Amino acid sequence: MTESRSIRIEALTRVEGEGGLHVKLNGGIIEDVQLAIYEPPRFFEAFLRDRSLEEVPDITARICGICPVAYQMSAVHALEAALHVAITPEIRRMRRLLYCGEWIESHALHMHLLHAPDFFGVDSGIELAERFPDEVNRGLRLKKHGNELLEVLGGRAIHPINVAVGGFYRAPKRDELQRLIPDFEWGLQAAVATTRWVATLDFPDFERNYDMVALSHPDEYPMNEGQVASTSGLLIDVADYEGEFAEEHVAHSTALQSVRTSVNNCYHVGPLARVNLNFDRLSPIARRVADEIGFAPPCLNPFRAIIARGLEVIHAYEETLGILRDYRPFKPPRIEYEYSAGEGCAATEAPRGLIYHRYAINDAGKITFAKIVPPTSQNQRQIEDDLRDWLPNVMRDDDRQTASDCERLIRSYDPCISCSTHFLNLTVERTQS
Amino acid sequence: MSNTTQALFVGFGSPHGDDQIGWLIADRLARDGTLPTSVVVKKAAIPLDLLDWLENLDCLHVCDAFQGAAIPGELRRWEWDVVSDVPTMTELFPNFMRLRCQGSHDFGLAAVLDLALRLHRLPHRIVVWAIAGDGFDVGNSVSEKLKRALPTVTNSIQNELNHA
Repeated sequence: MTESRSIRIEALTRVEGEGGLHVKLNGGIIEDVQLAIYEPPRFFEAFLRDRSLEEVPDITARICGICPVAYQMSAVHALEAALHVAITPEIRRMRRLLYCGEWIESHALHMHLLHAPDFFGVDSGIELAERFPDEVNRGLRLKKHGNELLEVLGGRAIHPINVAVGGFYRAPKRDELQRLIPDFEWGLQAAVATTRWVATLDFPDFERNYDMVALSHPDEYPMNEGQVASTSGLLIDVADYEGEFAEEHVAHSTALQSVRTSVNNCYHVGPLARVNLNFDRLSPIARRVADEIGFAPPCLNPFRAIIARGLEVIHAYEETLGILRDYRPFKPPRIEYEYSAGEGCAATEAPRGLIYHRYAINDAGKITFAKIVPPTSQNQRQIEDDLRDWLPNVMRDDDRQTASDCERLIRSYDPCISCSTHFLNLTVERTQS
Repeated sequence: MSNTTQALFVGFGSPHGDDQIGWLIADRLARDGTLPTSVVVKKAAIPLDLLDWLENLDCLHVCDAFQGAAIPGELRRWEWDVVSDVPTMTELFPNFMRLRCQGSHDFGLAAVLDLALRLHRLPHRIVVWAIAGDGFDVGNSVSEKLKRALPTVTNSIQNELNHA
């Protein structure tokens, strides 16, 4: 006897993308969980072929409106590796500043409008704003600061246009950055208050023995550079990434899923992984707040990623202030290069986790090959794996409530898959043998 | 220019077909140069951008394309007076709520206006301008019908902004 029921949630507006979740039950046993991504592939890697390498940062930025900097940063570092271009410390610092802006705007948005509503039993950030106007206003002001930083450095807040292979098309003027300082001084205090607030949320008692993967750098909290590290002890150069991690196709998804090939297992990327692997390189105030709220690595509860995001927002504000106060316009804003055939890869840390790019170019400066591995494709199999463990805790006769609890777990990853779960159609197939 | 008496016009759009019309109108308004200095013109792709621009405003005009039972190029206008106990945008215009709710991180325009209402950030007056589009296919240019309608709809909006 088979009992099959389906639930359609028409407007799941707090994750990015379109997809569904299919759960198969045999009696009380969960037989299968499939995060089915049915949005069509977007073919960005194919678009890039035969394009001039200078176009890559602007084209890849279009992959995402929330984290365009992550795509730009990974692209320029990979192309510079292919061209053997060494950037100056000043350019490197400006790239970290740009990434700080993206982390602030992306994390502030997710924390306040996408994730926090789950902890108060409300359906949206709009309802949350009615109950917590001060907190939501504060979060929106943080997001605005991130956008302003992107605008000054990148030319505009969404899909910045100032990022170039070799550096920037234009270095900002000193006063353009200095005038941001008062807002960022306020923002640092606000980020601390926000992190204290999210630490008081009521978190489900759910931990998993994750293999968490992030960049790790001996001297700094990772953004643009580092080795690939994992909580299970992996430590490899980015150049060896594809020897350890592979994307696999599964029939139920148009998006590829990543696995660690040496152990044939899924893994977890994102702010929780970064904090767990790089806690001692967080900024002093971020570490102090972590101590104060009792957050210590390793944290293995995915719902607590909202706290990790808060700590990273504090870090980003503190690092931003340091750069803004010391800033002097630099020359050249961009390192010149000559075309030569080659191949290069890079990994950076997008707000929602490690992102990997590899490009091959010919001696006319055209792209002959592109590979882009976004963070959410790396998390997809992990999310399915989590749901298998999570479902026994939340499986009820009311499928709508079950769907809601599953979405809550999915949202804790801040999935940004324009290939996942915008309309989450949860089908529960119940079989009794 | 006063800091507290301002009208903001925001043209929403994307590069896809007639969805560009909000941007094209904003471009024409800005280029024309005859608007009062108290009127600021901006373009946006994401409704959440609005939240960063609402300080010290008396009136907000938003403009976007729409799909529906209308002749391409037809201009619709709604006005929302934000007084105490005002119904939310969603309650006033339940169908409008669906216009731009296809994003996820990206809140729809009505949702952003509702959020701003609850956060007491809205100016007293909101005017929504919507222009019926003919096609919204990815990467297409704006349709001939909307190109022809562009001067007329821009003039209508400009006439009102001149008295803002």
